[in-house]
Amino acid sequence: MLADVSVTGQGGLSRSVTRGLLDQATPGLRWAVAVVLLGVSGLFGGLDSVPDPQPETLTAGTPVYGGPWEVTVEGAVVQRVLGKLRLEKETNRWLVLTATVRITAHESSILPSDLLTLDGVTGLTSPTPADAALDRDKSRLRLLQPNMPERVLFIWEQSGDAPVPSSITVSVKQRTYREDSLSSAWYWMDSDTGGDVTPAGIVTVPVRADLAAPSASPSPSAGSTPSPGPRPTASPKTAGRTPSAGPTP
Amino acid sequence: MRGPDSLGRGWWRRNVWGLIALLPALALMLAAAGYSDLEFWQRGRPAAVLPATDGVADFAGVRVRVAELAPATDLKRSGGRPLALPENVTAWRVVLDVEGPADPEQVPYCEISVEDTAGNLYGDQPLELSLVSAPLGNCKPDNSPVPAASGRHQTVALFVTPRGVDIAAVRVSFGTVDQTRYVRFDRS
Amino acid sequence: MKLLRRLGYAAFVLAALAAGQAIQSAEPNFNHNLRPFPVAGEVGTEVAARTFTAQVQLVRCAAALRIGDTILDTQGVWIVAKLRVGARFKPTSIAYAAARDGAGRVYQTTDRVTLNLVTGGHVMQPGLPYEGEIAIEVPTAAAGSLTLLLADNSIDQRMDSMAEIRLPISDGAACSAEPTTLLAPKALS
Repeated sequence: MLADVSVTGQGGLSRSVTRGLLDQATPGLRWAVAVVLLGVSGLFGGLDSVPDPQPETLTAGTPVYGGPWEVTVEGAVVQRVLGKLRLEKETNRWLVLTATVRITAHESSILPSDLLTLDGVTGLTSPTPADAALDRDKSRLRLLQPNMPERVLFIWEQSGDAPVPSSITVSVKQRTYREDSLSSAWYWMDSDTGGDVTPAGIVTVPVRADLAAPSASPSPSAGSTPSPGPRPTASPKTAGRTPSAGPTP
Repeated sequence: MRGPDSLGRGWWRRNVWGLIALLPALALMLAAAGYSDLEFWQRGRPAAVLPATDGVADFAGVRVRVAELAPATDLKRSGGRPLALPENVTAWRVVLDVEGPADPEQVPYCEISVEDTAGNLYGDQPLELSLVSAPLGNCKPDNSPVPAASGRHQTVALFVTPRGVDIAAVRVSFGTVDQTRYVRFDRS
Repeated sequence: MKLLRRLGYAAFVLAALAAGQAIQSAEPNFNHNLRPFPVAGEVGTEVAARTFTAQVQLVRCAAALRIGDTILDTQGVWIVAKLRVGARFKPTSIAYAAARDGAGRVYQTTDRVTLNLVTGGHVMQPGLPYEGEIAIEVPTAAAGSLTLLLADNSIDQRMDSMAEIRLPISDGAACSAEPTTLLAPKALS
């Protein structure tokens, strides 16, 4: 039976099949086919209501799930002194945001520098944090381990000329686990919708101002990464500015 | 065409030779595909360039020969004190004579490694000799232990092997000039 | 009859498409195809990966690490493994070390301490092995189901051999409460 089908060229077979089917179908039947197709697409989610693209604004303490991470923004403070960290300009101030981050991906991860973006504050020297540190020992943040929530200090520098914000809005970045169109491998990647990327969640937190004159001496610093063994075998990895113990917001 | 032909043969009978020929054709196809992969893989390994009979290799714009390949027993720390190596470690010194362009900038960087009789490779500047003060063995005139003169200079590289291992060859590659080949000086 | 035949053709086309879809979705994820080649071993035995050998000599766990004057705590437990590693046929370093738990989560060696032995900078020559200790932070509940993973590439471990050594810790809750110190890499030659 198949031998009778003449494949005349590209799409010839499917064209003759569809034309044949359409010829047979009365207008009423076409409507029926359309309804059936709609129903079938509904089975696969075609008729689902699409959620509002902009997530609602949450309050501090609410976990935001962003794919490979879950971020709970806890509080924010502006201060003049932060351990051994040096301000670019002496009249500037630090804006420190405290958040608990849990890696929900299956492996150890380094957070992207644009994990959190701030709104409602002007005069930041950079939109991404100048530094980030583990609250646990004030060491510089690099790897976070899966399913081991850590409280992290995200540190921005704000110009002294800009007003001290009373509250800020924090957007948490979203990533999805999807196939890379180039390599076909699966990664946690930014959304492929292009253009505006919807944040995983938006959190508004009040900002505490702690701008008293620097009186208290900074607590001892964890300093550079320690190395094991009796001999100092290695040079410190985190050269440069390592956050050290300052007042926790 | 369906059904028997004019001779009364069915489809299988008419096509029997074609079907038999399919098997070697399939085997050939697989072999050809495999061969091209194998060939590609082979091409990925750098090929050895051997020196002329006088021991000099003319390659990458320089003329190179091995002036010395011997255990190094006189290694010094940066302060000048002698370096004691563990019992079962042998240090080796390779000295190359390099003759190239008079302009030091034109002399290409090289990387030297040694190969033992079992084919294992050892790299320059091993951890075991990190305390030794020695210039980089990179073929550049400014690292020469003897003053460079009229385009001639030397380059020195140090290696470690387990005691009892013998060196069979010195490999010199000029990665900035040719990544597909390296010069191989077999130890005579 | 003609309509029936055409519907038959359509059914064939649909069946072919469905079969293609089924094959495509039955095929494992591409990441799975690219997974490392495991070389499994037990504590105390030498595992030979493509470019290096590795042996876990001892494993212990503790609530904190003591590094000089610094005590590093953790919300979980520290897993400390004493390794003996060596290059096989060319200068090689171990550049990736991690522990995988029973749920498939992968915990890399900590970067809160400098661990030269397994972070790529420690290039070993064939036949001249080293030993030293590494530390991994894991949740207490995961400590009982860990497999140590070692590879020579820090960025991409896919499609190359990976040493996989089961760590014999039965209960993370039974780990030492005392801080433990780490042994720095030392040549065995």
